[in-house]
Amino acid sequence: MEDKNNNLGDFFRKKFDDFDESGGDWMRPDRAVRDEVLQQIDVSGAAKPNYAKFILIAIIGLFLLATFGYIFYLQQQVVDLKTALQIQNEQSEASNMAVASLEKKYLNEKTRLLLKSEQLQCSNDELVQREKDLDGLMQSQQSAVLQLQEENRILQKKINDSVLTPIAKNNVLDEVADAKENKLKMNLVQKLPALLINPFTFNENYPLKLSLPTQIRPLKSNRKRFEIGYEYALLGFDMAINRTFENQRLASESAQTNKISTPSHGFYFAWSPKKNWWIRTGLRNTSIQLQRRFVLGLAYNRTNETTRPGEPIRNELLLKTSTAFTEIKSAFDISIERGQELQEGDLLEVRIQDHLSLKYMQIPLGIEYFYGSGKLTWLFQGGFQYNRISFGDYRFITTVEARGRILPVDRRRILSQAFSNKQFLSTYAGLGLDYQIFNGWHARGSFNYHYNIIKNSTNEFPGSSKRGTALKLSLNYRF
Amino acid sequence: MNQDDHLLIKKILAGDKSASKILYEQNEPYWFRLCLRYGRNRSEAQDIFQEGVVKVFQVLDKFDIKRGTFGGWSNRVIVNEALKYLKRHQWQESFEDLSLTAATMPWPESIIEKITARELIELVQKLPLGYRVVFNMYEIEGYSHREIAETLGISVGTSKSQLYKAKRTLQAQLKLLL
Repeated sequence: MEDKNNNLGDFFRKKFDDFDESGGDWMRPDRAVRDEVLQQIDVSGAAKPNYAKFILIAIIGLFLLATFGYIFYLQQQVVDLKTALQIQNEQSEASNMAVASLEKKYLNEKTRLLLKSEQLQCSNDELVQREKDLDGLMQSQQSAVLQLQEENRILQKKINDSVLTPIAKNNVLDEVADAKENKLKMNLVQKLPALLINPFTFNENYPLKLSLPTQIRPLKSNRKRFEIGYEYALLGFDMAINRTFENQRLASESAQTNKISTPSHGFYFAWSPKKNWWIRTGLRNTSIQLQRRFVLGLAYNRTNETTRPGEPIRNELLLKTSTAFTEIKSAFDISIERGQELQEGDLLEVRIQDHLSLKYMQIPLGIEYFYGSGKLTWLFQGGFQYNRISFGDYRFITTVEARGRILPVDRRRILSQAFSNKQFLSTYAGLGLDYQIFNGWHARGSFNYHYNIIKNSTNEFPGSSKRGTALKLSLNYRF
Repeated sequence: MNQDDHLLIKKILAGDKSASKILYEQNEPYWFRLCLRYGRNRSEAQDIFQEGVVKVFQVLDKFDIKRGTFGGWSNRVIVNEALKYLKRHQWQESFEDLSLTAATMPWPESIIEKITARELIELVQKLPLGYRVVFNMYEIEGYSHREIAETLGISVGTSKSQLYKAKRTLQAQLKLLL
């Protein structure tokens, strides 16, 4: 539709563009409207244009926070569920094991009762047979008695009819009666023992007497015959150490006894040939650490002094450190300044700090007896033990003082390491307690006394070097 | 838009309430006159005015100086609010074809001097809604028929028809007035 009245539009537009106040108040909003608009502008106008943004950011922030919180909560839930599942699996596994164990016990018990029932049945049959035998025996004895009475009566009559005196007659009668009675008794004594066995007395020989049917064999015992375990032992012994200087004269005591306490770890295996008796062997390993300080007094010997022009006087000291098992030779040099020479016999105070490390392996072979019933039983043990010692490490530092001066020490060195008892046997005996934690698992503690069979040819070391103790704790599994 | 308006808008966005009042007072006559043209009467115009002006201040942060003047932008906002208002209140009688038979006539300059803006507005107010809206949007605000059609949800042909009939009606009314 074509608009042919454009001039009208122009007319209106022109009139409106030429703004005039001809309308007066009619051309303006009422005061009330004006105030309302101004108030709304203040309240919801542009003065807070970013308010919505803040709300939006806050909402997004809250949403993210809630999301992260929920994710964290879900992660916790997952962890809890995993833990619960694991516990459930473990419980299920333990239940299965318990059920299997119970089933095994049930079968064993059932077989045992079946065997016992068979044994009782056999006993009953035998009792019936014996009762019949006894009845027969009684009847035969009664017949014999009657026959004897008859014989006696006849004999009495014959005697009465004879010409013997009354006294002789009585004697003969008594002898005859005794002979008959003895004969009867002998007959009974010979027959009764086989019949008078108590059928309710069960012992290991009884099944043979019952002559069980061949298809019923005695149930094989479910006694656990093998054992493996881990053992922690706290070994205690005296380690005597003797220190001497080969080229110097000692002026003080050189021996020192040290109380050693060292832990050892080991595994072992045991076999039970008979109920309550076990033969045990294994392997134990430990490391002995000896770290000691000592002071030795020497009477100075100038024999080994070496001198070079313009240099201090030097003297080599040869130290021998020996234990009941090892012998270590070491050496160090001391320097003496010119003009401060030491005289023969001057006192040298030698301070030494050394560290000796030994590896100690033990292979016990012994027998054990368990006494008692229930979960807690006594334990007696004894046997032999193979011991082998090897060197770990040896280090030492030393200071030497003479005439109030510290002498310089250098060239510390180890010359040789040797064994006097590299391997040796020892015996042991002990007493302890065994506790069955649950089926097959045992915890055990025992106290042992050891005696080492070692050479001590020069009696250099005290007798206590041969003795030792051990506190053993072990966890064992029997199968 | 002059530099003062731009400065005022910045102050308003910074939270200066006095600037809001100044901007309002500067534009109040124009905005209200616009509303008078869209309303059926002054009372409706005041309702439209109230909603439109509040809307202008609510969306003031969206005004982009590079895309036009503040006057043109604020007029469009108020027109949109006017259309919303009219849809809520009198849309049912909207764009029916009314058989008006006013004759076409030229408009001499002498007539323009004799008639006032108020009288013209009152003539426009008396137009049926469809005529009034299309006439205002096309002739006064400068919308194209396509824009009017999209805004009002009518066809371009209807927009043109409504405009034609609005003008014929106004011509007839002016004749009577003069």
